[in-house]
Amino acid sequence: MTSNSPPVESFNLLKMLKARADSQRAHRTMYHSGEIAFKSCPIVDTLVTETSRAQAETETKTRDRLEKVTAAQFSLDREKHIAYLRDHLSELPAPYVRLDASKPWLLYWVINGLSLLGEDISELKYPAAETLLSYQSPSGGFGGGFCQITHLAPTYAAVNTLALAGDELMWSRIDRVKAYKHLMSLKQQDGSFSMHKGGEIDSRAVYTALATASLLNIMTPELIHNTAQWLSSCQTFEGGFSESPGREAHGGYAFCVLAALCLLGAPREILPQYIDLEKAVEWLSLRQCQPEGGFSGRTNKLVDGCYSHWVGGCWPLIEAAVGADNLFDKEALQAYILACCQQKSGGLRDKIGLNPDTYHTNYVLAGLSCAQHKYEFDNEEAKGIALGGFGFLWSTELDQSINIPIGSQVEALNPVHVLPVGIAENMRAFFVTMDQYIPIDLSLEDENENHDDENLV
Amino acid sequence: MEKHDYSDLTIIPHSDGPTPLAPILYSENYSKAMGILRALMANQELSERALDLTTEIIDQNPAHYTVWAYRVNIIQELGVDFLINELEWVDSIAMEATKNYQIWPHRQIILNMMSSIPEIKDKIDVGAELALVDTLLEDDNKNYHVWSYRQWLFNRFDLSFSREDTFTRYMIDLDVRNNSAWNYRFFLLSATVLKPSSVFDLDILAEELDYIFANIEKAPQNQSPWSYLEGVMKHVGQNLSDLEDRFTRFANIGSEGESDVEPLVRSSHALNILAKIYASKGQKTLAIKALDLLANTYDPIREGYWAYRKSQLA
Repeated sequence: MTSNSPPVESFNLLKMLKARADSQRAHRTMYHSGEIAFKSCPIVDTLVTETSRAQAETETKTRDRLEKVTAAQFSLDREKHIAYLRDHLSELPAPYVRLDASKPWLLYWVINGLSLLGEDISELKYPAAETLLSYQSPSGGFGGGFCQITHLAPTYAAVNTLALAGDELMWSRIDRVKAYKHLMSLKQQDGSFSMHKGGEIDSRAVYTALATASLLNIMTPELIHNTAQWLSSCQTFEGGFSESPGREAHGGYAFCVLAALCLLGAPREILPQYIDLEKAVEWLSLRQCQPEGGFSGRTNKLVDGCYSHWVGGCWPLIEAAVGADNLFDKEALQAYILACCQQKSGGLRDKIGLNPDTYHTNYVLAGLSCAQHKYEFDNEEAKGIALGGFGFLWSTELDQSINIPIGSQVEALNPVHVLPVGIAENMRAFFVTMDQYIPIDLSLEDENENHDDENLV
Repeated sequence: MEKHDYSDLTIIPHSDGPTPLAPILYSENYSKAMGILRALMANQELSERALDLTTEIIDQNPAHYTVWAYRVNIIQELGVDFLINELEWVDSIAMEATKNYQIWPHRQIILNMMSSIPEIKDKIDVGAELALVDTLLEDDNKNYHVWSYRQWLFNRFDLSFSREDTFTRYMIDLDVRNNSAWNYRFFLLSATVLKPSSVFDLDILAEELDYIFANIEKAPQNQSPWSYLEGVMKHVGQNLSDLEDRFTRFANIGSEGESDVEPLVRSSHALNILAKIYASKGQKTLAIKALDLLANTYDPIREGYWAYRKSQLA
């Protein structure tokens, strides 16, 4: 740090000096041979509001923890997290009823999390696939559980999990023609999608629809007509992306919008075409909290481990578009995850003081993977690629510039499908090959399906 | 389940397939209610007893979107009397499960249904809707769904500009760092008094700029009004560099040629905007100085980003 004295007028000198002393002390503290230290902003406003109170509390807890962590503790407690995730595959107590409409999500979070940790999940193949296939809806797509209506979110989670823990025989039991008709029935004129019949229209729906279509090889020009334009309208004045036009920029929706666009084209072509890339880079960059090192989901909100993926996962896409790397502080993100997101008894969490859950465990691990790897998109290959093929041109390698504590490395991900490298690619390749022999008929004209049945199982 | 007789139905028991993974040990009550519900749905029964059952299940699991969708069908069938009571019921759920995805689309569906029926159209009380939103925001001033719902209300019922203007000022006064309030203000102004397609009043813009800078002064390191400022200027097609003099109060690193000026930086966001202005004016040395100060002193976690910005300078 240089020793410029900041001006002292108009704001509290004492607070500033304290912040600076803290920050310098922090820089002297080494947590690991990699000299991971936390960085902070020396400017502290005196005005106290609800936001600054909550922020100060989080900062204090984070700082305390980062200062107390010793080199030996600064690693991933792999076995405990594996045990935590595996526990969630056996019988779950009654309060888990809140996930009764999100069973495919639960299975995705658990099995994807285990895969990120390098666990062999082959013994889960049969039970996972059978459980999920029992949620397949007669109207196409998947419901959130037994006898539930089809919905894009569980459809995405189910297809992702089948890619992870299924095989070709099980994949061929997915009714892709019906899945396609279901997607088309949710398509809106403006290019967006609704989550289910009569349900909410938002950028989650677009991402889950496109990701499903991409994996199942059922993307058509009709399906994506106007969609990139609609996604573009979700960029806000801040540079981030929202649920739908006009709403507040939010990390979760940012990933949905950017990943959806990257399913429609090569990042360096499609992103500058449809969004203000420089504002997006700035907004994403501003999500990284200091001194915490993790990401917040919105301006002036607190750090939360799950945004390690929702915001962190945007970086491979953005970096491929602008042709630069290390646009965010990967070591600081890794430090936040390892020091603050691990529950001693297993599982990963939002922040210190909160309980872990399977959602956070998966997305914190996905964020860790993002911090540890470098991604490259094959622009040459993209030039002649067929519709729906853009999600499968990523290659990854370990980022040698990052100091990864021993035993803390996790697997690399396909950045748009959020599945370990090779998994999404295999499923897609299977359907592409199958369609070469027996093309599927995705025309909609002749059948006027009885959509009234859709609400009733 | 006590209020009605369901004994005529053949209950459809739960199943997770032949090899269940992660089965939930449902409470007896939930299990029974779901068994009956599945039977009712299979029969496509749209009745009062079906409605009451959905109430019971949603109470136990408000995320059960299938049950909400079924409920919409039932209400549609049962008609006016049930429709009027529906909002009151959703209120009670909203109070308990504010982060739920289903509540707000459901409210929208109900209000849309009500407004399509002439005899109950005037029963819609937009004031009551706003009161609910106010109460929920008092409790959680950044609740994403609630703010989104307010935007929907604004568009759907042409809310008064002045009322909403007062409301955002009030929320910003309560917490100047509430970005959701700033976002709502942008939504409001950009579609009305600062709509670029109309000839907007320059006085209104000047007034808004004063409002923004007064709020920046309260806490210069607060990012929200800075982003809002940039957003407004871009929206109305004005140059940020026209405001350069107003930024020097918050960040001053001297002018070109003055190399040894001690920088005054009360806000990293002001310094960032200045870097953009210098870049747009071709003042590369100053732009580099600003970006270096950000990377090395005022905003070190974004070191990689500031280096990228430097690489973008022509």
